[in-house]
Amino acid sequence: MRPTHRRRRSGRVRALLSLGLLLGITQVSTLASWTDSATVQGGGFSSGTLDLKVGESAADQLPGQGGSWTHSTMTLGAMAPGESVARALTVGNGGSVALTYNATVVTSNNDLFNTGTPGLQVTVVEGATASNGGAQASNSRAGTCTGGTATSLTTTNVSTTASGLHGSAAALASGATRTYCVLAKLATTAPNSMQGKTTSLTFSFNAQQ
Amino acid sequence: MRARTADSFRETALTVGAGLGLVCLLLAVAAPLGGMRLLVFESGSMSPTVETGGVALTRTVPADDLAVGDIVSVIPPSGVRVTHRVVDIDRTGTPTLLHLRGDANEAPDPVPYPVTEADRVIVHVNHLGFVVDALASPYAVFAGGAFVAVLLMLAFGRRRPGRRAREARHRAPVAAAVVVAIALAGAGALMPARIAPTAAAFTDTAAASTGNLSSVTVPAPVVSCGTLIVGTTTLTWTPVARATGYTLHYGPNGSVTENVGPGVTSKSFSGLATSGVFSVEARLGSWSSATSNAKNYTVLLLLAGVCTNV
Repeated sequence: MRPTHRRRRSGRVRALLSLGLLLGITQVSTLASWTDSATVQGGGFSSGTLDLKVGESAADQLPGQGGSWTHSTMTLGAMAPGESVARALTVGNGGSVALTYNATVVTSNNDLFNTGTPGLQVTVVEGATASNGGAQASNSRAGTCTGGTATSLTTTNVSTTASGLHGSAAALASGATRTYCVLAKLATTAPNSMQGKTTSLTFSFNAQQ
Repeated sequence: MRARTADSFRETALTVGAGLGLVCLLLAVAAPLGGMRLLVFESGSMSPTVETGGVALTRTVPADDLAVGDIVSVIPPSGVRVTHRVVDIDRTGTPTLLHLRGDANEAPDPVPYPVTEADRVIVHVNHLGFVVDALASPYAVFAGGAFVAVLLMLAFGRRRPGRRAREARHRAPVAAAVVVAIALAGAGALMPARIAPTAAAFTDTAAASTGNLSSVTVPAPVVSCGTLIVGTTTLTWTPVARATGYTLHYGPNGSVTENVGPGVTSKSFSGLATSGVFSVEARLGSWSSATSNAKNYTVLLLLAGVCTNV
């Protein structure tokens, strides 16, 4: 009779201790509710690859991590004040998971930048078509971005200090691409001191899962 | 024989339940006191150190205690907890700025994280996250609840049917156990979560540079002496490609300025007696070239004009 009694009492203690499991369960289930509301990937585990690619009309450059690519057709020599060039720039998600990205643009030097006086100006229009016309002999070479949605870069005086492309990061699903029209223009009112200068633009894209 | 099997099942179940319950209780009490947290990695940019589905135990430490190389977990303004390795610490301002990078990422995260404290990873185990995630499913929660209920029944329930006296005696403890169970579950739900999901987000960078964008240099014209006839002195200059006009300077010390169109490449002076210094600049829109070479010119009535280098 006595051993049975002792065993029953210890059974009750153990049963009460097992109530601690309920604490653990509620803690773990907060994880589930957190995960559901989290903005990453719709929650849950994602084992995938992230790959941001760029290119002119197709995002066919820079597979894999990092790298830099020269958009060699995006160039214009002997620009007179008011002349411009427009080219397509495409960004693509070559990875297996969705990503968000943003970009900044800098110039390689400040030769065509002057505080308070417009020099080289950059306009990027999302989803626009790039075209070019005019002739060098008549100082009328002009690029045009047709259609699309304006970005933060609209007649922006660019310098070696980064200027942002989008106010907030843009989303890109796996396999998706987005095309931009990039317009570089030497302002009509560029100062005389900007003659005979050379610079280039670098767009730095940063993608996150 | 059957009774003994049932007994040993009862004993094992009670012991296992008590053990698990105790671990949960200790963790629930110790974790908040020690600033500990259990993180479940939902993505794999910290691989191969911590892969997707890894679990890490962290402890909250002040920013001053952090060092380069630590794996820390921070909550950026986006609200999604990120766990990456410290690559640089900027303590010049307040708060401290942490530069983090995932081990599998080529580049550091685009923006530094301002922190006064961060959750530093103490230990980590791969794959355990999948188990934790499975436990968070409704089925596991239900099974856990049912398991506890069965244990309570085994411990407090009627052992031998038919003994009404005992049954009455056991009602009170059962009711008490149910109340405690509900209270604990409620406490668990109200307690700040010590288990949190974390992203170890993959990043990638891509740089696109343009070719050269160059501005033109407007070349200066070259001035020559033209035909010198009696009463007239003419000066000419070389045309400049793309010029939209020329600016002429003449008269005493070049003090007179005159703008002419792009098709003009000469200027004649005539009169009784006049002289001056002549030079030209080419214009291209709002820009103008450097000043050309200068020439002295003289016109004298009835005499041939004179044109010389300055």
